[in-house]
Amino acid sequence: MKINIRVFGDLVSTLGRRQTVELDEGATILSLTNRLAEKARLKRQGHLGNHKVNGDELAVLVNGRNIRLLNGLETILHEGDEVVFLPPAAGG
Amino acid sequence: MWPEASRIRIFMPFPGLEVPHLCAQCDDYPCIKSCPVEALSKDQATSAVLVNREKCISCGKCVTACPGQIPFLHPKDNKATICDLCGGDPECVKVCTEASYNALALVQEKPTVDRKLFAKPPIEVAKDLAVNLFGEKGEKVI
Amino acid sequence: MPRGYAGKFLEIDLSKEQIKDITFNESVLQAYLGGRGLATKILWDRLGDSWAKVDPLGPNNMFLALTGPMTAIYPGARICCSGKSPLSNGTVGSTASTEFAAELKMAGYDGVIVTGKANRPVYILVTDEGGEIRSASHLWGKLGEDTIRILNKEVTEELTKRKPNIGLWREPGMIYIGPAGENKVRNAAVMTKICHAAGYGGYGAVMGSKNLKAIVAKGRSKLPEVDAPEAVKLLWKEVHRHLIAENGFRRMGTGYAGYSVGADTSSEPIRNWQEEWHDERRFGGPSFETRYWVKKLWSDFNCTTSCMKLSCIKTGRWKGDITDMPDYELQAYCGTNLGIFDAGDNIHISTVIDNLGHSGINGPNTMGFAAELYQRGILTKKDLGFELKWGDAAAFEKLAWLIAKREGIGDILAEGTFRAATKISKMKGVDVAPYAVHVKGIEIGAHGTRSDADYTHDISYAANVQGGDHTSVAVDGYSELSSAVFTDSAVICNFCFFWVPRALVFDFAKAVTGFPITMESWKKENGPRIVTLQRAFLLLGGPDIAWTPIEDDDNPPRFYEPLPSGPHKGKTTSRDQVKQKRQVYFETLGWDERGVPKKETLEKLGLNDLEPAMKELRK
Repeated sequence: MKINIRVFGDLVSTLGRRQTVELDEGATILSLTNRLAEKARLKRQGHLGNHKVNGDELAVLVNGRNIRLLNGLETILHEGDEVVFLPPAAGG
Repeated sequence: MWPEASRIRIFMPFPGLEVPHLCAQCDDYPCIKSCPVEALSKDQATSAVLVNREKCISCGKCVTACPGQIPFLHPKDNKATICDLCGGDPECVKVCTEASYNALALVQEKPTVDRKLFAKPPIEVAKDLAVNLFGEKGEKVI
Repeated sequence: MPRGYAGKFLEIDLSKEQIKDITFNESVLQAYLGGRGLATKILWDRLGDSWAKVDPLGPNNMFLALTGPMTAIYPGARICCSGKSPLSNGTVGSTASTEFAAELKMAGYDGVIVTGKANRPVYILVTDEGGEIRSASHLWGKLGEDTIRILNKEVTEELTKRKPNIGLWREPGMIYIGPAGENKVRNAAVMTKICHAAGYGGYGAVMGSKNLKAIVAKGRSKLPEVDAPEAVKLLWKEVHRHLIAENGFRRMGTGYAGYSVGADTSSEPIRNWQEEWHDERRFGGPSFETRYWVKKLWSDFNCTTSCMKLSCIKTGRWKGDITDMPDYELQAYCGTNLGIFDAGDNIHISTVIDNLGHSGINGPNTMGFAAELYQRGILTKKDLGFELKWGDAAAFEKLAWLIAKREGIGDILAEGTFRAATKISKMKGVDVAPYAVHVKGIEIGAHGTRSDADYTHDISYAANVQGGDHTSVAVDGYSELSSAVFTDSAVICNFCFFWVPRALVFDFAKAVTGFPITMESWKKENGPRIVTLQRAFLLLGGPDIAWTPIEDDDNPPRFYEPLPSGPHKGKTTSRDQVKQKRQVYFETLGWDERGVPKKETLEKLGLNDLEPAMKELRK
């Protein structure tokens, strides 16, 4: 199934702004982040760049909903879902 | 954390004109001479002024004797408070250096350098700083 | 006894000239902390019953200047100003970096709460001896720089008179207003230290409406005791270590972004947001740094981030201007948004804005709006009294003064972009609302949503309880509740917070207060409680307007126009995204499909007394 990814902030340099990822039915956020880390050759376990996935700082949203309010890293994805990676950021 | 009890105090007569205000160890120690109860003395090892808090009677004469009015009375017990150079390894210098501001340094000046040039009221220092930073405008901000 | 707090708040009724010390229950402090949170709670308790009727510029409004338990102890001391906002008719937790916050706590106070209205210009002085009201007739009309100079001298002389033998008195801390606030320019700022401002919300106008020129504080006591002193000592060192390590940001501040936000993310306001990309390379950081920055690491109380830079113009047309950097927001708003791409001109407009006490974001947003109307021939030279061409710094300076003094067209523009648009539409028989860039009356910060390449997106402002406030945007109704809502209530600087591991910040909070403060509780309970109250205020609104759910939970028309230039040309904010994300946002916070807080949510958050008012809105 196809999952649409949008990336912001300092993760753009590692993951690019948008991509579509092919995953097996029933894949979870964890499988998605593992796939992304693999593609980008990121070595640090459980992290995307400097951000701990499912940590308090990187907001991961599935169709606008934070995964912490769903099933965390075990949240199951469906065809056409949009997953957004939002590192903490703000202006000044 | 007690900024007003710290032996180094930062004045700011105008934003941007921060003036660290602390003892410069004048060669002739007018403060020590002025104390009626001999509560002040010179630390032979560091040349810093030492205050005997038990003897201090909070008269304030050391403040007026100082060319920069640097001593102050402690906010809690009114005892004269003067920088003692932390015995030779000042804490303030450490953190200022750590933070890369490098505004403070422990130095040993030659005897020909007049310590009183470093013992000025903050407003006087700020007036010079103001012209340095702001040019002509600096003469109008204080 | 909760730690981190000085232990009491100063309440002053300016109408009756009554002064008293008040306290709050520990349970209230634990739930709301201070700053934005506590202000929201106080405003609900005192004005909630009659909210819609309270005129933000009338004597019944309150002006609050609150610290939080972490203020001055954690790096980056700030004050949080609040009250009913003359712009949104809701509330904003509007913060500014200032020694005033530390001095207030050293004087023994966690905040100042002002009600009523003085019958002549006054300022409030807070010392270890308490609060007092003093005449400010000699200060009324004075610009920022002069206000500081005069009050520094006056207050130190007075304190020296009262306690003469203790040595030199250090200068007090102070928050003040300029002519803009005095004349109740609706989006006027509360100023401090010449270039810092509590800008969002229009609280400068609230102070002005009370004839309150300034609040000055000087204390000599210790900062408040903390719950776990040894832990705080270690954590303090650790936090500073992180801040000192941020070499890039320390060097550049946000004052290098005037070129890059436009060029890299196409989200910078250009000429009233008609574009968001520019290629004016001369507007890059070095153009400011080399010629104008006189102090390159400048900060405020207990801050080692030192992102500020002190700027001074020493020669030429604008000789004598003193301000900071300017920071990115003012590079954009006092620069690119006015078609200005010259560093000197930008610094000049920033200085003028600061001295007049305009908000550096909100004020020039209205000026840019006026300039677009001039561009389109809707406002003419006759209306303005002069030509208002893009890039003409002298003209914009003239306009800034006109607005601050409410003279001529300035009287209409002083109402803020939203209300000015309504008035001008009537006056000219042309709908100018499409050119007004605001959300719920609060002009939008210098980060657009159309390119989607910046940190601001679809609902960042549309669903934000603080409208166009870019420092506290809506993300997903969950993750952001432990950032700006927390820092605005603990009252600490965001730039001493962002690059510190969150666990460290929250450990610090616990070690100071002894409260069980966690990120989780702020995301799930404390944060939602505060923004739900703020949401209620927005919906109740009044007296001149209450926002319509959904319709006003939206971006301005300009943010739906396709970007006309740059690498993101053609892109715009997606209405579908806004609709969808807004629904999720409301749902996550336990509000109904129109964003009215649900009954069960109010129960869960302990806000049952909001139910009667919210029930009315659900009809």
